[in-house]
Amino acid sequence: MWERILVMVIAFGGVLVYDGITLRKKVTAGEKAIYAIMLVIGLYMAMDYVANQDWFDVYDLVEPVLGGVSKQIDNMLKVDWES
Amino acid sequence: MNKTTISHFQLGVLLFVFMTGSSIINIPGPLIARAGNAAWLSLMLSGACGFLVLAMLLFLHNRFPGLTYIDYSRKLIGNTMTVILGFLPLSFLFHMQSAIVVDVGLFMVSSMLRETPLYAFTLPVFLIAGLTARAGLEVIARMFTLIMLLTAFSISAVLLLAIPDFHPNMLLPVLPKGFKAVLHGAFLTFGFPYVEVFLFGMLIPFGVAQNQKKASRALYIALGLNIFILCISTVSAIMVYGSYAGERPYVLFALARLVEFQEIIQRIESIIGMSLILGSYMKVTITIYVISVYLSKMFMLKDNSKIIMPIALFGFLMGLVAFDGSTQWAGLVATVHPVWAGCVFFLPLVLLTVIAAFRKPGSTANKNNAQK
Repeated sequence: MWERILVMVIAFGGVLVYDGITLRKKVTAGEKAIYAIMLVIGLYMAMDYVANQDWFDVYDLVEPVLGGVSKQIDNMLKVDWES
Repeated sequence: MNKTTISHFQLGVLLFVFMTGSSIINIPGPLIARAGNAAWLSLMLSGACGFLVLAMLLFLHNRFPGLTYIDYSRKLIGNTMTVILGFLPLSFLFHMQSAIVVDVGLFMVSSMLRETPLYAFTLPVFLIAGLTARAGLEVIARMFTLIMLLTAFSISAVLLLAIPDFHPNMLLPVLPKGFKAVLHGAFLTFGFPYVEVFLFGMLIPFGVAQNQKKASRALYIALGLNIFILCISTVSAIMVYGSYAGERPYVLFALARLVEFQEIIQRIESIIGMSLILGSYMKVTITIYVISVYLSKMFMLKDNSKIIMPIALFGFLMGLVAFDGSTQWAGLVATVHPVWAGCVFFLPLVLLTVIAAFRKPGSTANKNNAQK
């Protein structure tokens, strides 16, 4: 767990320090809003990673919707090379 | 947004490195597993779909010069529908950027460094890709022209040195199980990489406007060259390994292991490893840049470069949490990926093309002039 926390500190810290230095007083309100939203979602994923859980992510949304159709198409086209 | 321009040649180079980058290493093995000796036919079929996507993008760009996919989407279907439909490609774009880099990590872990955690590979790649994307499209284009030459030389050298191990008789029979195998292979390569040409809907406007015809030609040539090179790699793999090539996920890497020339040049598979990392780095850099332009157009931001680093961070985190195991990942990429890409890239693009085709050019041109 400490290893994962360290990885997150390095990742987030690196981005925030770099942008903090290079983008100081150059960011508009809209850019700040998008930046903040991305960081919040990033924090959610970071907590998921640190806690080693399997929380809801985009694949949990996509697989139920498209997984069935995809599998059917794949099975329909699959060729049995053994026979 | 700052006025960024690149030449038609650079635009073609970007398309070539984007399409070829990681696919030359990742595609041949799984493709041969699905299509057998007819893998090159699958590439041609899915490549034709890639040409169709490119043709639609160029048609829309000719109709709306200087505008990106989001801009002409706004003109054709309105702001609200653009934002609603705009989130669909965004989901896949974020998946793409993490998938490209996770593939690098999986390659390194499965081939060489089995005990090393995935983040040891994904973090540096995202860091450098993010910084490169931050430098701007002009820097990306200039840099990638040089890297592309290096990568092309490396892969060409491996394929040329492998010629003594080729057995052309292994290419036959081409269709032992009929045409269904070709369709199965084309299903895979449609999702990765050919439908991803869609991303250039955000980059074509950065090409020099007065050389519209030259830009179109450069893009078609780049895509054609990509199909040709992937076919050559796939056919080479079949000539060395036969149907066994389908059991190797990184068949070019395995092929490079066999190369031996005068007992001096041996075990040059590290060149292929290097080419994969470089190719994936270039592809993810372009993807990060496209996502930043996409988001800035969608939310009407002034400068896309400000949000590049959080996009790269997002991709890194998504690669860590979404990857639940190699089997699940392989299933996602091979099965869900083509349908997902088809729904969020291909279908909205077809919709916009059809609407633009039925709209009078005069009415849209007048609106363009009014906007300018």
